[in-house]
Amino acid sequence: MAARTCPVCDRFYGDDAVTFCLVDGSALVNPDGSQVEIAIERPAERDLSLTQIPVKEMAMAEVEHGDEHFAGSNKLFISVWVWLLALTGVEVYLGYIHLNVQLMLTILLGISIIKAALIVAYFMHLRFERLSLVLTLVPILAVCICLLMVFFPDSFRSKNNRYRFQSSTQTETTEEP
Amino acid sequence: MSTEAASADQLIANEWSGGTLPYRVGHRKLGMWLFIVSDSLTFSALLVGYAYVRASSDNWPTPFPFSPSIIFSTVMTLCLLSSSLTMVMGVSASARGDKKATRKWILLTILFGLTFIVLHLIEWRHLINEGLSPFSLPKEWVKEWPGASPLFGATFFGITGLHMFHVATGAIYLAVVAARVNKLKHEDVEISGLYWHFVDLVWMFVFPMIYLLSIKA
Repeated sequence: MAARTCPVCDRFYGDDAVTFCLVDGSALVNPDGSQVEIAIERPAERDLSLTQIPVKEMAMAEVEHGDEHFAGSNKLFISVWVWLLALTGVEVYLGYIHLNVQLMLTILLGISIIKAALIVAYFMHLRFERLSLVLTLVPILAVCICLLMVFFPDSFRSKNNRYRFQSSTQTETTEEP
Repeated sequence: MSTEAASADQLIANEWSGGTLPYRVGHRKLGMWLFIVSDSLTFSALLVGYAYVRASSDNWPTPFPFSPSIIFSTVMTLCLLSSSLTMVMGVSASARGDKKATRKWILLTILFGLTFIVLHLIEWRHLINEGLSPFSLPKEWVKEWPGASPLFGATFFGITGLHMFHVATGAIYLAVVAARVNKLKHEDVEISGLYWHFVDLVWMFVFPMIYLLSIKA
């Protein structure tokens, strides 16, 4: 299977992936003289297999090229940064006016998630990546983090249950001297 | 079978039709993204662990007075946020191919990162001098918050310590990138940026959860 030759220039190819001669572009033949099967249909308008263009490098160039629009603008980044500072300011202000812990926790988590989304979308420019990458990374993370929440019922159950002995000994030791 | 004969269009095929580069990112960048996802889970687990201990304790110390502790840690937050901005400037300079500016911005980023570490260590030293250790509270705290869990220190030093370790590693990573910036491709600079922003992102959760929820009444 692996040995195939070019009928025109007699070059030998050991690679299964090569179906055309890389020098003159003619279709390769198997040792028994039969035509090598061409697995992928060639686009009619530009037949890259007939040229020596390193296709993989072209694709990588496209990857790097795709980053041109990544940058967004410095103005965008500065405005994201200002937003992050403003949201941090709101958080600190909430701390300053002392809300109760549950309300505080809810609001802080909400703001933190917004901040995280801003960082991921613009600074890590996930927004400019392909949707397939976003859908591969984000749902996995969200589901796994939600799974961690299974521990909370147990932590509420063990409230008033866990450190009572410890706390009484602690107060004793502090009263001793 | 014969991918080599395929056109570039097929190598970076449509969104869900596969191809050699289905995500249109290089393998290193994909690797960094996967590392970031797994590292986020490490930090999530630590924060959930902290929430677990806090919710199951009879009492929990809230030892940080607004001034100076919270103001101090807000300044630390500003340092990290600004370092993210300088990093993103570095990456966009690198996208333009301006290596000199890239190096300058990255060095500024490292400087902000080191400032963060120094401020954090000052704060740690202050708390340690007060008598806080991973498994015991200072005596005054025990009086002030009777029945408080002694694990306060474990959660505090554990989470902020791991985060500080990430900042320190990030600073070393960025120093290597800055030193070799002429040899590196744009995508490599971008990947180091991803890591640095991730460190910043983690702090966006650590700061409210650890500090702002423990402000002295």
